[in-house]
Amino acid sequence: MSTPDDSGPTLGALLQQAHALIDRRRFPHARQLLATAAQSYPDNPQVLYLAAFIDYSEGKLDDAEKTVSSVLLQDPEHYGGRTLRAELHEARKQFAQAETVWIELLRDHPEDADLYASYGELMMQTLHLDKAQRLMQEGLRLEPNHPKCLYIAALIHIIQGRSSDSENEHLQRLVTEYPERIQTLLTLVVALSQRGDNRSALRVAQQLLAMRPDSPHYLTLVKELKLQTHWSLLPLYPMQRWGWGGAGVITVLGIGIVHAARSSLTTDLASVIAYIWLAYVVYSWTWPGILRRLI
Amino acid sequence: MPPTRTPLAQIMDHNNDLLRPSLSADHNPSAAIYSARTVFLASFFGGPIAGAAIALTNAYRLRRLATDWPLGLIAVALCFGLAWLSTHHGWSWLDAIVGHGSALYGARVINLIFFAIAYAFHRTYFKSMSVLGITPPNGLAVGLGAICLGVIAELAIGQVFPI
Repeated sequence: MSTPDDSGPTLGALLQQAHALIDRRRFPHARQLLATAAQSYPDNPQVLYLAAFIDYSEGKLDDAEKTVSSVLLQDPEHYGGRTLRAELHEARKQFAQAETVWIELLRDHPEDADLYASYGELMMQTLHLDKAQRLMQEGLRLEPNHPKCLYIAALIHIIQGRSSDSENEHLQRLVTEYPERIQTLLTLVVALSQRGDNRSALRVAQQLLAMRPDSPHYLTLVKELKLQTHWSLLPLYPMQRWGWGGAGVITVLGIGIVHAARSSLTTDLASVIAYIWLAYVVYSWTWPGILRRLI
Repeated sequence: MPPTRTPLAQIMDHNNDLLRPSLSADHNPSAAIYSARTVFLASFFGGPIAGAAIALTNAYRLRRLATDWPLGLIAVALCFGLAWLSTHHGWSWLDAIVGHGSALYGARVINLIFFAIAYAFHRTYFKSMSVLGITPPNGLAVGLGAICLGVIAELAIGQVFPI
């Protein structure tokens, strides 16, 4: 905490308070505090970095970029400034530039699990799953319980679908070590949803939204899961549960039933079955989209 | 005999491999591919060639053409197979089971089989996009183009086998 003296709190104390406020996402207060700090230390890289971080968190990418440039002009090796520059590139979908920054950072800090996690996340987002997995192995070798490495490794495990959730060792470690973390809950939502248990996924997602009520991302997630659990989508359960495999089987079955009806039932009855099938096909392709607009 | 390498050298090699760039600014990063729905509709209505056109476009976006090129070969083989079956009474066994006009159903099932193959090639990428919430590009124009290409290709291949 601050140690007041004749000239007010020290820079260290101000930065510590600003960090604490940023951790709690109290950005307006943190911004006020940093403005106070900037009056006495206008060119301090750490003050500028935190101001840029708040801009980035609030989606003001141009402002954040300008401030990060100032930080790196004064201190080209500033760790936070460099990581924020990479994040800014990613936010602008300049993935190749972001990768260059992560690689340079990793060359300078080869034992930093945070950096392996961040670079791995970029590789996962750009669908380079093998490399993301190898980066996570390295990150977890350096820090076996690193939360972000565990989070990304658990997601890769789910994507690759090699075994059941109970065998997802990284997810288990996340739940055991960090049960309250957002990343743990997010991974659980994904795991439950991929298993077809959208109701449980919705409950966890609602918990996420309660923790971060201002997050548009979690709001969208809850909306999407509410859509998936809507009663009117119940006839689409095979597609929701087994994905394209389910859709393929239903299609072949439908075609088979319609054809069998034509050859073995009366024309009227066969026509009714054909129309029901047609209606089901149209419903399966159009209704989820319509419902998404309605909810 | 190759020289024995120290574990430290192996670790350094491993890290150098990890720190080799995978993305480049002059190539559209493979952050999104056309959805499985686009591949499905193109395959179902346009046949294997149409499905392959979308799947190979996805392979290009993923820089996997060197791995995925057999999809094109499979599609052409299936098209020739369909054309041969249609002109050489190849569906007569199916006609005997489900009645006259079964060729249409047989072709649809083969289209679905091709979709399953294309899906298997890119399954992890489709699942990644679903898990990570990556929005696929709009596949309407490309899908319609692929369906036209598929239909034209099937008509052309049909000319190879006289009835």
